[in-house]
Amino acid sequence: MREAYDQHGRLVFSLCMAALSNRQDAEDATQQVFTRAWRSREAYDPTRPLGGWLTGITRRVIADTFAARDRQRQLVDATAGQRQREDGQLSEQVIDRVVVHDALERLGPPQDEILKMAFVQDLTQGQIAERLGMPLGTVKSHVHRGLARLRTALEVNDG
Amino acid sequence: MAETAERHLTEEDLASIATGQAPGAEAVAHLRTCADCRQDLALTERVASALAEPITLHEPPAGVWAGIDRELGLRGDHDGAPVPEGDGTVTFLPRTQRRRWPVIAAAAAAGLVVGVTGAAVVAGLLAPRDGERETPPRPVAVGEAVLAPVTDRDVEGRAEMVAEPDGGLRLTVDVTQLPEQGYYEVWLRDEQASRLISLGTVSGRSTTLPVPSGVDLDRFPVVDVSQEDFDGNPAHSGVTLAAGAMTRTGDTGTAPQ
Repeated sequence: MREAYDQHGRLVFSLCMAALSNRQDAEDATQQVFTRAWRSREAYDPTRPLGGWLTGITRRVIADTFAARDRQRQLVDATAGQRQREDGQLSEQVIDRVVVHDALERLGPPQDEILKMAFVQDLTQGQIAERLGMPLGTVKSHVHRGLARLRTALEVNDG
Repeated sequence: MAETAERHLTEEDLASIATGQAPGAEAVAHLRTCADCRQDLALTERVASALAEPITLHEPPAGVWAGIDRELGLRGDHDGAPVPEGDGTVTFLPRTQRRRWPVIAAAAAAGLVVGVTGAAVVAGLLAPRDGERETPPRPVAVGEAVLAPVTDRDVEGRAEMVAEPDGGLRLTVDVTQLPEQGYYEVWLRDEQASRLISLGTVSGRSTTLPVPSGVDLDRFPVVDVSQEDFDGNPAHSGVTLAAGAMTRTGDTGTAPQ
């Protein structure tokens, strides 16, 4: 369990933070994800990736948290109008972003930096090669290897 | 040649399309007929658009684990200290299952086609040329590889893959040196090291590891032994100690050794 938490804790907590935008709620939700995972471990199919399974549980916990907020809001009617509308679930795009950026951090230098330059700062591979003083071929190979590893991360998360 | 449409997209092709370059006519023709490449491209494009929108990652504060530990530890105990189990850590799955999942996860990660196609490859390798039950059940050599040293530590070795009578594949890896620190991990991969399947860790000078059934050895022809640290990161460390492409011996059928 500790291994699962060490491996996937940041992913789960980041998903909760992105969806719930409230630190305390995200902490509670993360705790729930792992306790639920432990309690329903009989239902875990070990042929499927663990990350994807935990993401599925995270989705449900987040949906439950939104449902609880809704109930709370009905009770405290006065504040209802002030809160922004929430769509009540974790979107696929947010999951992709968290999964990909979590995996990006694990790539390590210089691959993570090169991918950021290519995709976040929108630099051409020629510009990256120039800035880093690296042969263009090396930059290219970091880009395609890095993309392959991130693709693997998404694929594993899809389950 | 007429076979150009058969060529799968390389990582370079996928990267250049994902970075906005128009695919060549050849690639377009191939994509029309190849579902695997279409899926790889779709995933690569998802990666590219997710990368373009950074999102803040948050490490969970220590209190979260403490809460999980407290909540799970309370069960079957009065209160307070959780009952240590085995070595004092809480085990997530029974040990045998737990050891299986990294292999499977990595296999899934590598986009391994488990199922009809892959099974057919293995079945093809195993099918005796004549007579189905005539041959006595014994392992059949499928391939071997000489693992050439890659670093100045000069670790080298060899690997042999056999198909067991029950259809399972096993890879035996012999290495000349054992790790001074960390551990060695054995992988099947493609030439570019962009697709990898973790088979397990090296436990001695000779280690036999199960290979997931259905693996397409044409897509993962290289045996790779890597140096890994105990950092909990399941990915290849990037440090290959020894590697070599496998030569198929699957067609020999009758000749032992």
